[in-house]
Amino acid sequence: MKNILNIVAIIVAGALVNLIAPWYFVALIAFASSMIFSEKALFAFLTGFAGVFLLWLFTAIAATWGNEGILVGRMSELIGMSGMALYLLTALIGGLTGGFASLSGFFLKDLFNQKDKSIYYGTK
Amino acid sequence: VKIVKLIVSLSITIGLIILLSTPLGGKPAFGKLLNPVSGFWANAESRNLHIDSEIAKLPLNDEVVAYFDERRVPHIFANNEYDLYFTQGYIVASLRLWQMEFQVMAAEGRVSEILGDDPRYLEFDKKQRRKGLKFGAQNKTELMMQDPLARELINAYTDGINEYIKRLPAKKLPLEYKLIGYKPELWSPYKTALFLMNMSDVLTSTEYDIEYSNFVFQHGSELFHQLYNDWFPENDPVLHAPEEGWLAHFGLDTSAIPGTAVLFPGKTPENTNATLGILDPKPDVQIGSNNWALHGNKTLSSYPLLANDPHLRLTFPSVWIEMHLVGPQSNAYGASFPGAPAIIIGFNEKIGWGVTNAGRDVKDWYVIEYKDNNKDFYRWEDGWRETKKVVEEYKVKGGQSVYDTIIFTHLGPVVHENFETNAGKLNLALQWMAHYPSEEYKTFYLLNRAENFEQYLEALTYYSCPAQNFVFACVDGDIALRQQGKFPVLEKHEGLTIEDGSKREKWSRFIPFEHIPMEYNPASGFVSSANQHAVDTTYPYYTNGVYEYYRNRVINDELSKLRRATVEDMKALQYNNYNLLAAENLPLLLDMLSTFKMNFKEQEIFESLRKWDFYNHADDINSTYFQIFYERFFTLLWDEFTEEEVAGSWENFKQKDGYKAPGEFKTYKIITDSIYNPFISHEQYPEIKTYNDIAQLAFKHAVERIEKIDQTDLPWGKYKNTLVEHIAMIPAFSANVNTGGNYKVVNATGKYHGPSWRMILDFADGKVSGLGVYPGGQSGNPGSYYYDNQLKEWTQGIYHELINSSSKADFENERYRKVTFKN
Repeated sequence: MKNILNIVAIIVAGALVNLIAPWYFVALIAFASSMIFSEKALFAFLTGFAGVFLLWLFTAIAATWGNEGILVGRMSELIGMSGMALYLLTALIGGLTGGFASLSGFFLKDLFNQKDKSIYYGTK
Repeated sequence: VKIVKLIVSLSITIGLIILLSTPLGGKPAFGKLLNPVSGFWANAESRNLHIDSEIAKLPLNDEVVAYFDERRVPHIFANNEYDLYFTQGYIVASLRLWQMEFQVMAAEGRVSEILGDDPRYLEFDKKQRRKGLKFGAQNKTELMMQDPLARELINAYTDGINEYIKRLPAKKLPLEYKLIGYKPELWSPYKTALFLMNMSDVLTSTEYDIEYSNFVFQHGSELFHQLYNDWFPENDPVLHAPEEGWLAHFGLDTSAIPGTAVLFPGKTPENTNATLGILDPKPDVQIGSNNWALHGNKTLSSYPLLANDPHLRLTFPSVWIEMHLVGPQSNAYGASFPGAPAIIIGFNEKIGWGVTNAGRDVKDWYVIEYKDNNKDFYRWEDGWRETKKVVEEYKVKGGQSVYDTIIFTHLGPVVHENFETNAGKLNLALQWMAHYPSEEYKTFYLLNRAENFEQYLEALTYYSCPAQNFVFACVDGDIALRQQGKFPVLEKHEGLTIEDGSKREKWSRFIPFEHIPMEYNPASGFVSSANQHAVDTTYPYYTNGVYEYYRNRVINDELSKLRRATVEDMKALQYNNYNLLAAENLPLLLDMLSTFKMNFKEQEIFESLRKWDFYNHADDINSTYFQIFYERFFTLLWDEFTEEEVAGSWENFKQKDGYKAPGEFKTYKIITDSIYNPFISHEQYPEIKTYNDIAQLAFKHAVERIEKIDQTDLPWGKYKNTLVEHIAMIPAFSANVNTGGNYKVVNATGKYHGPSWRMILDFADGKVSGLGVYPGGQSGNPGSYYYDNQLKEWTQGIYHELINSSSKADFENERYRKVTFKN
């Protein structure tokens, strides 16, 4: 449940940050979100990855909605991969950035807030 | 351990972000480009923009409204001049920002600043500055800024562009900025002047002074005149001599005719085997245009018809942008240049106008002899004159700045230093009309407002370079054509070859305005121009240039036959595919062939060509056969001056460095008039002794080539495979079209060039209504439907109605998207 909450938080906060800040601020979101929600290194990475992966995929789909494939067609010819691959590559770049940022967030929390962890457990 | 984990993980994260933000190996930064927030995804545009919107807090005097139609043509309504041109600039920037900036940066010699460390870019940049594009633009800016009218116009346009740039969020940067990785600068009047220099460079650089000199050095002037003299009895000039003759018409006597210059410096046989210097690539010979106007006595409506189609390189984004500008005293519609204010080719409620290139030589070269290696002085008569040195800095992207010193003489900049010619190594300075101060934009501003013939003439007084044939028609029924430009008064043959810089002063006398040739309501009932000779040889001034011989004859033939002409006749003529070059040359060449030597395939193609009607239609196969045959014949004949043709580059006879072969029509005349020609033999094929031998061999080679082409690629449109290319030559942003026409054909659609704006104006009932189409779209964004939406219609001959109502009410409906610009 917490992991899903983490993913949703990354998507929502990431989408908001997208509106005003450069693209890499999404890493800060994943980082911060992980500090709040993450409990295990593996899940920290996976939730961060999934959150930003989905956020970027949705954003790319939304951006090209109504474009009739014109831009993706030209860009996929330019880059030399299929349109589908272009969406996935974009999501993957975001996912990796989000995953590692999230992992870092977890490690930071792990370093300083050993005791707090139990509080979180307590509130579960 | 935990801290190590944190550090490793954090390092990976930060490293990844840095990696994704860094351009690698010439490729754009992946994260910057691909992230869906500000990367390329943000450039996707929806076709449907039928939502009214508002742009607030603009530095306008009053509210401006623009209605965008279904092709995104803006109809701009402003209450004062400043607001009108401000909004024009703002909207052009919103549609074409990257293109307009890239064009002027290239003109200024700043490509290596954008594209980086590549010797080709730096070489290009140095040439641009050495030719004086910057120098000319500075001279023009200075003059424009002194003229209150031109200053107002250009400042308003500049302010509009800059307001758009200042408001542009990073994510909405045009795609090319994201791909290349840079940002737009602010616009300035100087950049608008640079745009004009760019047009002058394209339209006046087809001159062969240095090539001709190499020929004269090697073979002497007598043979030169025989093989290169370009006036023939068949020529039908743009402007015909008045009945009383030019001299009487101008009130001049023969003493007014300047003398004849000597081709400099004559034959120097000891130097003829030098490796010749490589000259700048010439603008393609296919650049040209058609225009004409019919008087009411030749039209069904009894009112004039006017047509214009300028042939330029076919590019994405298009060289033109269509606009409708309504101000307090003006209502102009037509094609505008991204980067230049007002309408350039178009119409208002009273008049219409269009242009074709004059092709006159206004670019002359002079030998400069320095006193010593310091280059502080150069020879002038028996003494020396002082040079002026300008150091140019090239801020190469990702590298160190490079510096280049340009030497200026009284004639202009020394473009080539130590340049290899048949007369040895020379320093060559350039005198170019485009270097001189002038204010062409004022001409267009005034044409946008002109109401009659007198005001058209008045507007043209400000026009210098690149010289154009301005066609005119108006609701009063007048038609006119005038070759407007600033031309030096020269001796005969002056500037045909290199001149002596120690003896020639700067141009000081210019052909007076009233001696510029013009036709006004001629008895023939029409005026027309298609880049042919301006005037015949009785015109008292020397008019050297590079001229076209085919389109004008087809156009004039059709126009003289027309009675009760309609808009449909104009459309048909603009899309006329009759190839007169083929009609003249093919029978001649086929007659030279002996059929009994032919194999089966050769006979088949020979028979096929004999039945050809000479039309370059898209589905025609004989057009392909002829093109390959003729091209091979021409190259075998002029092997001394042309390179072996490269497969697929069919349309250009690539000249050997430093040489220029006689043109196609001259070649035809040399053969049919049996003009002495010592260049028939071919080094590689000693069996060639006559034109017939050349034709026979050329035909054999042509058939061999044809047999290698896939059957499905033989139809003309497929073989020609016309390319509309992105101006940064990005293939994914370019397109090929299957279409008829050819260079030297009225429908002048070649491989890389073609009618860049087709316009037809009908003055029926004293109102001007227009039709137009161009090969591209209003948007410069490759992520937009409007990037190329008109291309197909252009190939199919579908024109759009150009709605020029001055009433806002006509645009207040669901067809238009209204944008309000508020102060």
